[in-house]
Amino acid sequence: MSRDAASKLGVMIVDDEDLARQVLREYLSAHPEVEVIAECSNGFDAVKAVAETKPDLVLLDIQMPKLDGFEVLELIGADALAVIFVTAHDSHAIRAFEVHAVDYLLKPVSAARFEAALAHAKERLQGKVMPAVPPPAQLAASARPPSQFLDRIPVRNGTSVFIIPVAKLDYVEAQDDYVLLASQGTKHLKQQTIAGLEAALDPSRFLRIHRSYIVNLERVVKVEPYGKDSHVAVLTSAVQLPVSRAGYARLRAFLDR
Amino acid sequence: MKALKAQVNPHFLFNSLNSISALTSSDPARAREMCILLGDFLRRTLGLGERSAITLQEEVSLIHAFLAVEKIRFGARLRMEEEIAPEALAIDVPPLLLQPLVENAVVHGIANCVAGGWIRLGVRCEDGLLSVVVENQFDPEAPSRHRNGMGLMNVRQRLEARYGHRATFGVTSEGDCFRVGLTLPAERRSPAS
Repeated sequence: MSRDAASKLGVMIVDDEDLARQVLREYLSAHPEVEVIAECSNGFDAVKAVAETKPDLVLLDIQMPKLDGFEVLELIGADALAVIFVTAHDSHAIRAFEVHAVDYLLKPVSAARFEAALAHAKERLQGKVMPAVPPPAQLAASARPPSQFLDRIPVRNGTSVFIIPVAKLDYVEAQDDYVLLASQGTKHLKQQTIAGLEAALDPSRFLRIHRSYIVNLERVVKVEPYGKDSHVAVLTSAVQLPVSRAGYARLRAFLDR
Repeated sequence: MKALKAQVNPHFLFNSLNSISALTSSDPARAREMCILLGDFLRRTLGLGERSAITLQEEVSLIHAFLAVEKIRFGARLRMEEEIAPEALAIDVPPLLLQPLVENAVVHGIANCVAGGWIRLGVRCEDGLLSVVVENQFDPEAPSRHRNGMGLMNVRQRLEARYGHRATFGVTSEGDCFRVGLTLPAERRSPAS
């Protein structure tokens, strides 16, 4: 890394439009303590560049090719950096930012609002105020219009990003703070709670059958007794998943429909 | 104003204003040009919304005004191809019927492609029918956008309300090509209007 990490604030600008990046670059140029260390025009590049350049602050557009801003945030996490969202017009997203006290800027971006957001981001990075960003998946969920469910799940492996359409998701297994996403014989690990993921999936297609498992109902072939009073769900792939007592009641209600 | 509100996508407006804001310092002449192009598009939209029918020629001019603005925002990412039968230009169409299709192609197609893509507008006129095709390149794996399909639904409903079974509307997608096709009766303006 070429930047003087001790003194300069490393900023990354993510927006698919050249002119939109240009405004932000211009506003940042008035700040000698800031260095623009990367500019990206799509979500995949943004995730990669965050891993490679480790910015302190990311200015993040919402609507972009490949991954939207919320998906980018999910993949980069907000633990070690500050994020300011930049958007033209998205009432659901803006409500989510307000509710969760997340910094955002509206296009056209005003210099005064920009200065305020930058100052606030600096305070957060210096630990003067608590980082306000909620778990990224939770923020993304609250920015989604009501009754709209997740249609895809982005996962990251190092600097590469992989998209799992939910139709190809077979089941989900909880592993502490992570979820294991099983899709077409491959398993992908993602930092998210199983409850958070459950809330984002369409309940008519996915069911929590156990404290640690969510299943894609289309994959369930049969449910069999297992031991004295528990059950297993057998999937099309012959995989067997444990079904809890409460999960069994939910599953029966669905299968008997 | 209601018609304008229904038709002009706020995303388009705010993003265009943001582009103008960027250009004011880097290229003031281009900023001024974009203001004028945006004004031209809005003025046309306002004027057309009050009328019940316009010629295809007017609708195509509106599309050009719209694309002139988007071209500044997207630059080389936006490539437009047109093939319009000259005899179709005098045919009457409901105002703002085709522009939303092109806008849809920009928002859900071009804006989601890293390297941009093409939009093709084809208009033919045969057997008393005006047939329009708007095709665009898109990324089948792009993140979904909330307004998805609203513009198309609106066009379909307006066609149906006005022409009933005499109009058709169809959407297909194959590979990275999204295609909207519609036909409507080729009518010419009555001399009274």
